[in-house]
Amino acid sequence: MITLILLGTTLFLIVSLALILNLIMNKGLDEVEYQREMVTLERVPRAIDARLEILNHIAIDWGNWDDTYNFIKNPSPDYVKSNLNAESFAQLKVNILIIADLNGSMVYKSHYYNGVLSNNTPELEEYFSEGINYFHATGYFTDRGIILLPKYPLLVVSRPVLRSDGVGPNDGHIIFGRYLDLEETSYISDFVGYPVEIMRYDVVVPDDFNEAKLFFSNNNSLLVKNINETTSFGYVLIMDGYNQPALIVKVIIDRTAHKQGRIIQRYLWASVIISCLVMMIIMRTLLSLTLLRKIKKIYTTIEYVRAKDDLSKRIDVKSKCEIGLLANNLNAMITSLESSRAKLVQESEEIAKANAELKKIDVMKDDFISNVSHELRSPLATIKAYTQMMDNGDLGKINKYQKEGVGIILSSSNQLQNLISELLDISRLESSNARFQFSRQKLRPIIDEVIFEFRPGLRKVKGRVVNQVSKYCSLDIDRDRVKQVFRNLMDNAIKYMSKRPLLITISSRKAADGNCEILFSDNGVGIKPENMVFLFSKFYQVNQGLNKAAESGVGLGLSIVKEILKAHGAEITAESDYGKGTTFRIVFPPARPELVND
Amino acid sequence: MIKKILVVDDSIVMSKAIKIILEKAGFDVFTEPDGAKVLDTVKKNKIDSVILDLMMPGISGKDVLKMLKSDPETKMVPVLLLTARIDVLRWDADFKIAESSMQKPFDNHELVSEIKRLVGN
Repeated sequence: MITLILLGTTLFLIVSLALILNLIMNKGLDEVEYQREMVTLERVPRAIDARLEILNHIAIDWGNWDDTYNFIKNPSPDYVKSNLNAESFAQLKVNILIIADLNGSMVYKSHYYNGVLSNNTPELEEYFSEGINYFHATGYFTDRGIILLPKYPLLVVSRPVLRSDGVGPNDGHIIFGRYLDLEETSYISDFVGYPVEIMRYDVVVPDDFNEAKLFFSNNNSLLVKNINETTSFGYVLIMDGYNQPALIVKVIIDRTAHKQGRIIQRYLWASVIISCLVMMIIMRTLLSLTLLRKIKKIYTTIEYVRAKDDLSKRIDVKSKCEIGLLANNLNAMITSLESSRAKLVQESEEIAKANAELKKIDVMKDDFISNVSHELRSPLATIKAYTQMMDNGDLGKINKYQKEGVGIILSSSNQLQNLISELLDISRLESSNARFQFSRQKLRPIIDEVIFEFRPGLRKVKGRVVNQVSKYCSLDIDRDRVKQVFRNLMDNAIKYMSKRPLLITISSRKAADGNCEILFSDNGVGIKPENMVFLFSKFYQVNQGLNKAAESGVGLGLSIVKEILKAHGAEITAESDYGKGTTFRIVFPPARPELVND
Repeated sequence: MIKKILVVDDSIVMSKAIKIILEKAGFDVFTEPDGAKVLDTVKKNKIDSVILDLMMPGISGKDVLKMLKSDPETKMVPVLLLTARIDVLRWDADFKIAESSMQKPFDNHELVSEIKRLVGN
């Protein structure tokens, strides 16, 4: 990616530069070419002038001659015979000769063409119908120029006729005319340096000439058009002797300079491309050697560290530049990761060790409690056995005072027994060392059993229990433990009954989400609002019960209930109306809870 | 027929107490503190039921129970496990071969009722 950006940018820059250079060069070359073409086109009128000059020399030759001078005064056939024969015309390459006197009348006229010399010159008559004066009448005709005759354009030169020594006054004029034929055209081409085509202005011309005419109508006289890569056409307007458009000369210019320029351009581009390629290769190699290789080393090492989770590896890149710095920093980071991981591992090992230690202690505690409870129970059993025997009279008759005392001992022993049981129980339940045996069973008969156990106690206080639990209510429970729950609830209800006869109602309800709700209501003294929060706390007792049962516990009953239900995934809450009664609500979950310990 | 009960407990005072309780109820009571001798004692005296304490030094109550129940002569004799550690009974399947169990401390009359039930009075 980096490579792409770098190379792309550089390429772009180089190409832009090359394009700009190309543009500049083209413009320059075009400019130069145009100048040169103009120069070339300017040679056309000069070429014509050169041809006229040649004719002029001939005219001077013949004009500054006594013979001609005398001929005008006395036109004699001898002059004509000796000088103006066909051979002379051919030699001079003259097509028209007119000798006129000062009045403008033609003393001599002849037309030579294709070996035919003739004095009968209908074209001349037509053109020169107004006579030679036409030339001079306007006072405008230069002594040389072009006249458009029907057959060809005519190069015309006019000289005054003088004596041989060149002294005047002139006797008349001598006019030489030469057709601008193919031969002349080729001389003009030679002079200009390029082939020319000469087109008369007064004829129907090809399209490109028409275009040139249009151009020339705007006071221009030179036009250049680049036709293709190799040729340009130049058009030159040539005026005639009366300064009217006479000819359009088309110059076929070979664009050698342009072609050369194009070739140079091609070389330029070729070298640009080659140098670009070379540069790209060099850059790529350089980058790869310096940057890319190093970067690759960095990311492959990081990948390896990540994949193999091997924090011992380091990046092997040594460099003074930013890449080296990056590598060093990354290595430092890996090092710190390594050490913090080592620390973590060590810490988790220590935690595991501490955990194992705690578990051991937990087991030890459990064993301790188990042992202690056994050790406490054994002598207690002995006390109870003998006390009962005494109470029963098995160890001899006792008086009523002794019986009373024995009764008290017995009651205290029972209290002690309950306390030991409850302590052991709550300790086991809280440390999750208590074990449960869950199975699905119907709740109603279990509650009936507990009620049966309490029959003598209930009879004593004239209490009544109504079991309205649905016979379809079936739950995953530990039978003995659930019995314990209801036993404890019953104990509490009896302990805290009011003056009125005790009525306990146990009912069930299935909630919408599948939970099973059990309600345990009594009509006892109820619980004061400020005591509610302590209800399920350990060792909490309110000494308000009107029926102080002989076997009152130490306030663990409800905590045990709560812990057992918690192991069942169930929750217990209480609502009370102080003075009216209390309702405990137990919500069992519908599905089997996680086994605490098995 | 007076039924013969054997009390196996390492606590002399406990054995004595149970003896008085059961004799008062009309049983013939034997005591044996040493677990190793229980099997012989049962056979010798044609014991009708055994009250067995579990936590004993030397040979354990469990082993005594196993001995009694594996011997064809004594395996039909009902055994009542008497122990402070009632939870152990619940979780150890080896004890299920005993016919009954009771936790210490116990109610004297309850013990009597249970023994009567075991020997089929």
